[in-house]
Amino acid sequence: MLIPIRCFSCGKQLAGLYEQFKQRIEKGEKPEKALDELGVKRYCCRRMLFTQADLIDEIMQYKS
Amino acid sequence: MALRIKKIDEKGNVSRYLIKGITTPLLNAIRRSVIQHVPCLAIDKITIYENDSVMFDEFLGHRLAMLPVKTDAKSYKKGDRVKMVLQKEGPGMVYSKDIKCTDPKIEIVDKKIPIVKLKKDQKLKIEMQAIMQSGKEHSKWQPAIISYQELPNVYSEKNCNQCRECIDACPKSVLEIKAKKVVLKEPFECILCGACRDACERDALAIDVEKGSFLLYIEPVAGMPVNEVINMAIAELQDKNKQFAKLLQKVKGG
Repeated sequence: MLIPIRCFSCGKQLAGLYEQFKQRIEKGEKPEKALDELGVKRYCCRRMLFTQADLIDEIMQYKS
Repeated sequence: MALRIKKIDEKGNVSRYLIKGITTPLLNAIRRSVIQHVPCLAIDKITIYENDSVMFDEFLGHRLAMLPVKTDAKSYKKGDRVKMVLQKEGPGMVYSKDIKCTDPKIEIVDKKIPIVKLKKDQKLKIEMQAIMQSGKEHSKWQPAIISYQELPNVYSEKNCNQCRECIDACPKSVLEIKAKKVVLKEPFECILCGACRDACERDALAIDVEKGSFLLYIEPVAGMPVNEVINMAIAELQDKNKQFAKLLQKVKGG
């Protein structure tokens, strides 16, 4: 639904980086480069950011 | 061998240290003490007065609990509580910066954490208590992410013909040839993947670790400096040792 606050495996706080990450991807930057520059090094944390599906806007349509 | 500690680098809030002359059990005891015994603040008790968002109360509660709270370990002791309030009306995203705390020194470490999205006229009103507790209870009270590895050592043996296959195979490019021998140029960057050994046709490469040398990674989560976290962990460890010695005395006496 929304980006999880922390990495499931190691507990690093990642949600604060998500909007920056998303902006960069939308600009056409490579996810690999964006993650490296944001300091997301471990693959447990990397999968958290690049496998995220934002569904909250869709779910919000069903509540008045 | 005398204990020696050297700081390798600091990127963001991730620090790396090289520690020499220590054993795995001692270093691991310190690591586990950081994870289990050093207390920090995390949101634990919440009262939801209003929640019109699409997120269930439980879901929201879990998200709030995960927030890293900047801890002031000097004025807060284990079991202490501090109140926080989150009040917001849509439309828009609710961020961690919207959380107000009664103590101005305490805040959420990152201000840009999205908590929930609200539509027009949807309201959120939550009262929270952050409690000082240790990681033994729940991992949200873990003050730092800490890990270590033994210092890698890669070198070629006698039948090496300097074909450079291993150097090309290394995904981190940390090998080089020095005086007709393959050596590790940057031992701190080697990930011990073994690609160099697999690439070698003559079986001439040895992958080893340097005994008693460790790389320590530490990444504070709760806004406490590295020194403070480690000192508190060691103090907790000493306390445990004293308790153990006392009990042992009793057994002897009885």
